[in-house]
Amino acid sequence: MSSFGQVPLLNVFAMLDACAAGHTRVQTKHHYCIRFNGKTFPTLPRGEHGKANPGIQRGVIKKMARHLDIYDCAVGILGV
Amino acid sequence: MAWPLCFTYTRSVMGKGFLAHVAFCGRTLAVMETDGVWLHGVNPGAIAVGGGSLADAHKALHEALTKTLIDFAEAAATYDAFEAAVDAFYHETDADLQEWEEEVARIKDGRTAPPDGLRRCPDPELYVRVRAMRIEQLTPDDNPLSLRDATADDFGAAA
Repeated sequence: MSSFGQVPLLNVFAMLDACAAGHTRVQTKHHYCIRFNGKTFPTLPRGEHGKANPGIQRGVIKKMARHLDIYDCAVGILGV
Repeated sequence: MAWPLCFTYTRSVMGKGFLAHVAFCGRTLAVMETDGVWLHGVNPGAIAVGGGSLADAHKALHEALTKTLIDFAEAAATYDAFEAAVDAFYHETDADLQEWEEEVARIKDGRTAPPDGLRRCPDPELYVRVRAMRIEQLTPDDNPLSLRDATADDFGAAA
């Protein structure tokens, strides 16, 4: 599956709720900063300005899932 | 196919009552896909960008790093807090580090070739440097849209 394909942001949040229970996410000017299990991923894009549920590229989601050590769970939910 | 790359990045960033200069020599793993290239960060690890070509992905990496540093500047109440955030971001890596090292070994023993057109940076000196700046230290290169963004010289094959 291409890393350039997109997943709606709210689906990414649902995946995080399932795979990274207890994580925190803080909205910054350009990104969401996700913290879980002692790791920080500060570069989850907020997407286009004004879009409530923008698409997030699968390549970013794959990297975030590897970085936070939740890759297998993320694949199971999002198929990334 | 994946290539282990090194890159340099420099940027001046304004925060709340401070001006900082940030310089990286970082590592990234370039992964070729049928519709483009993805750069998976190693140092810093928590970043990934894609582009239609290696040059496009390189430009996207610079843009993403700049946006991330601006986020850190917005969140930091002091210069010291900003410096700590940048330092932690740069050093936090993940499993892509092992893959990067394996790809370096594959190039060094001739199993794969580095990408054409990139300078070679065998055994790159990795660093992150953050320093406070005074207004008289600024130069035109510190302008946000200067031509220092993502030039070919900033990028290299790490073997």
